[in-house]
Amino acid sequence: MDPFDTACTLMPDELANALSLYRDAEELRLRLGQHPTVLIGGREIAFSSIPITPEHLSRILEVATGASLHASTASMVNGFIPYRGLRIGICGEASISGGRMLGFRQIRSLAVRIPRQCSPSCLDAARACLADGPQNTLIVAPPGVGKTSLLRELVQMTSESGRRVGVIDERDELSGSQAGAAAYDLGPCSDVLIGLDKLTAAMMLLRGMNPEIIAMDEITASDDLDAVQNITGCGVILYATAHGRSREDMVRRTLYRELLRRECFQLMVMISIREGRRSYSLERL
Amino acid sequence: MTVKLIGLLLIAAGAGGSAYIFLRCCRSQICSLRSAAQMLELIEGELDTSALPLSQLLETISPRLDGPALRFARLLREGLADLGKHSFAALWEGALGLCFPDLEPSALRELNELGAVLGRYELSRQTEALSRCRQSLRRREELASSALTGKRRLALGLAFTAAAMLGIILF
Repeated sequence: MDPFDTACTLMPDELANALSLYRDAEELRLRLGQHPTVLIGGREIAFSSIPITPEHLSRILEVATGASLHASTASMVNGFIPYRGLRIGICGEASISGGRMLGFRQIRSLAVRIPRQCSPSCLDAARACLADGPQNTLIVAPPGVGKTSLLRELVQMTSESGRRVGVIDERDELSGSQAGAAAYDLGPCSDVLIGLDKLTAAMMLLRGMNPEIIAMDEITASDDLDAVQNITGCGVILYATAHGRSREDMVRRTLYRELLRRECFQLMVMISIREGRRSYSLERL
Repeated sequence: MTVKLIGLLLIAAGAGGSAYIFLRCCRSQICSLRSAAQMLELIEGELDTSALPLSQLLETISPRLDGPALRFARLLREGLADLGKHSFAALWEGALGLCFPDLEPSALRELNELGAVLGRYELSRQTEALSRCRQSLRRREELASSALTGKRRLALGLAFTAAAMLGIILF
């Protein structure tokens, strides 16, 4: 099912009907007491005059979790719930006990990220990355601009060329698996590890699956740097993504400054949006 | 004379039959209470140990269920495919009404309230609600079982007394 249609199935009927007119939506933002909005080209547009109620949010979570919120606690405390390839960000009043977050006492807003199919320019960028064969590649962009889509395309193209790809899918966004079936085709030679932190997953893949390439999404913590080091140190090629607007922006932040200092990557792809259009620039490091 | 005898026998059979049906309802109610309590115990246990999503949980416990609870688990699992069109609480309530028709309204009400808790709150709250409801159903089952002997005597006594009085009046 198309990710946009999947997002529509989450919505109550009165919202789904209004939403159906916005097939370009990249994200749905549902805030308690406010009109629901879609994010298109970086701008939020209200798609219904019906204010969001607690019942709307409960219903969406009920569908997303299969009426099993207790089974989604582990991802909820990380601020999101995966649902058939969508990422549903959660915001609200946290429930804390003994210094540990248990869940949410009250949910006040949801952000439903709708992954887009790779556009022609995204496909061209993926082909350009692989023009000289797979290399350690870092995809950099601000949130919601298309890092995951490009990474997914890179993985699929590499896998279809017959190379073994191990995929670290910590948030189940790359493969979008649910009930054993993947929402996205990552290629015939891909092995996907879902729900594990990158460092643990990297060691498992290296020890058990003999990958030629490993792909991971969103380097955000120092443990992720160790995962990068372990992978590239073993001679396995790495595809990864990171948040950033430019190389200068990355260098200003400790984590990414260290990432660049370690010189693990040969290729950096910067994705930017200008006037609603994405552009991809490749830089050899 | 023969006709009167046949008439008397028919009246007695009717009275006995009514008593039998009444007692069968009582036994059926006890079975439903026992089946529901057992099901809640299994749900509570699975939630406690593995916190499975409800659809998987129902599939896991089904081989250990029988009678109305087994039908309920199957119906609810099928209904979960329509989550979104119907709320979980509505699916739960609908399945209860179809599979446990013998339960007293107050017992059904307690079970219905579970549908508003399951899958919506943190685990401890769900297991507490399950435990409370299960214990209440067990108490109802015990009371109903101990009252059954007395009801049996009463029902048969009333039935045959009514039959005898009818026989005297008619004949």
